[in-house]
Amino acid sequence: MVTSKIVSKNLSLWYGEKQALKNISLEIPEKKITALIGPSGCGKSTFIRCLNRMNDLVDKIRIEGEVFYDNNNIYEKNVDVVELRKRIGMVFQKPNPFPMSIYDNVAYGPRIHGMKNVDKIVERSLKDAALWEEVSDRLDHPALGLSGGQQQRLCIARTLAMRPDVILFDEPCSALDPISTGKIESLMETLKDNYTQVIVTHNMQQAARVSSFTAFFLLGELIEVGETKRIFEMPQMKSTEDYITGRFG
Amino acid sequence: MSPYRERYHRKLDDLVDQTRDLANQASSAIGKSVAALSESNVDLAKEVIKNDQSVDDQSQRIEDLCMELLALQQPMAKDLRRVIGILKIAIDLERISDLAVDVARVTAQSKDKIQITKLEYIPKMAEVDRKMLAQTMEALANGDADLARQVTKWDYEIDGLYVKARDKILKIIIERPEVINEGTSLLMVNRHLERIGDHICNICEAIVYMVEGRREHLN
Ligand SMILES: Nc1ncnc2c1ncn2[C@@H]1O[C@H](COP(=O)(O)OP(=O)(O)OP(=O)(O)O)[C@@H](O)[C@H]1O
Ligand SMILES: [Mg+2]
Repeated sequence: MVTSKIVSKNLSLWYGEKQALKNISLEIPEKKITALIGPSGCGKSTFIRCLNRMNDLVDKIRIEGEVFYDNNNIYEKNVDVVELRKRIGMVFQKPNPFPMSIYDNVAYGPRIHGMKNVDKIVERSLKDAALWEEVSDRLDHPALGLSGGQQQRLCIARTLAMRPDVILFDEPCSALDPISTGKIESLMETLKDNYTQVIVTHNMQQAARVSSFTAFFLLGELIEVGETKRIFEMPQMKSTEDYITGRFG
Repeated sequence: MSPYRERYHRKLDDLVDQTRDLANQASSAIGKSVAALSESNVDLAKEVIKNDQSVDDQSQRIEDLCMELLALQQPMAKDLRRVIGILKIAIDLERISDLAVDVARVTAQSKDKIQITKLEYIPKMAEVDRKMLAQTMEALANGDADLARQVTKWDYEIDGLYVKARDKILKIIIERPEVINEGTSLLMVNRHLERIGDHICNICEAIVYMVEGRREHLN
């Protein structure tokens, strides 16, 4: 049995007048990788940003429906959003390290949350992000001196340092070469047993390789979701098939 | 759509055309090998054997095209099923041709004419095999899974003819032990033509998979 970590129910979202999400009901299974695919502008980023209330920061936004995280509606009034984002971390398309040392980048979150044993957390996180070997002798160097692939793994380490439960990846490899991409993918694989992961990707092969479940979005709607193998071998909806076989538009 | 994508889709269609070509060669090998046997026509039998090279080449061409599409285009969904399906179909078609060649060898290698009996069931089986194969290729070209399913029903007729031919040949061998060699050869031919029907059923299964994504055991 697969239990759901996050469940969205009839989730709709408007940017001003423009509706970007239409009645999305989707279950994100626990300790699995779920891929979100779909053409540019279909609402993938908007959707995952709803899962840790990242959209709260956008103005003129209106949200209807519910998102449950461990059965609690995260859009209830009394929810601690800072705590929520600690539990549900996010990695973005462009690596965005802080302009400080490698060490401080990872230590930043644990420090402001008053966590103990920061040295240990930094080492553990860098190891889990498969970056330790490459940076252990220069932790005091500026993070911006790292390569793009290393920066992205540093951002993942920064997310892991917060001991999250869920990690949301928004096109984490789109700026990376195949070797760095391979490292991020194998990292996701090793994190699979302990974390629930969601990845937005435009790379169909990547979705097929890394995920257990795939959801296809189109024009703000969830068209189809299912086991990745089934989606790529035998999609049920014509638009899914057209998209993944490159017959779109 | 990008010109690369268009070329890719053309190649996917090409795959079906190439497969039909291979099926035509296989069908003609069946027809000629059995005609050669009926008429004791050694030249015709040799022609079938010689053409086997062309069948192998064609089958290789299909495999290469499938490899190219897999490596360069990473086909997905129905395209992926088509490439995988055709890889399997090409193997069955090549096996069908090999069986037809084995039938031709019986004629080509026999010093004496094999005329221990009038061949009534064997040419009939070859005819049914060829009819099945033609319909199968129709199903492939039109993506018609139901037609593919229907074709497999003909296999019962093949099996019926096989049993009749086998019993008749065995009876002759028992009555006239001196024709044991020729009789055994005919039993082999009979068996080969029955096996061809099984390969065609495999092809039909591959077509159902290509069209509907379902793995069905037909026959
Ligand atoms: N802050 C915003 N204000 C207004 N409209 C927005 C905003 N963010 C996104 N949109 C619109 O909402 C729709 C969905 O955008 P979103 O970024 O979620 O798409 P996406 O699927 O992530 O696309 P991409 O693959 O290009 O990243 C688009 O039409 C986009 O223009
Ligand atoms: Mg996006």
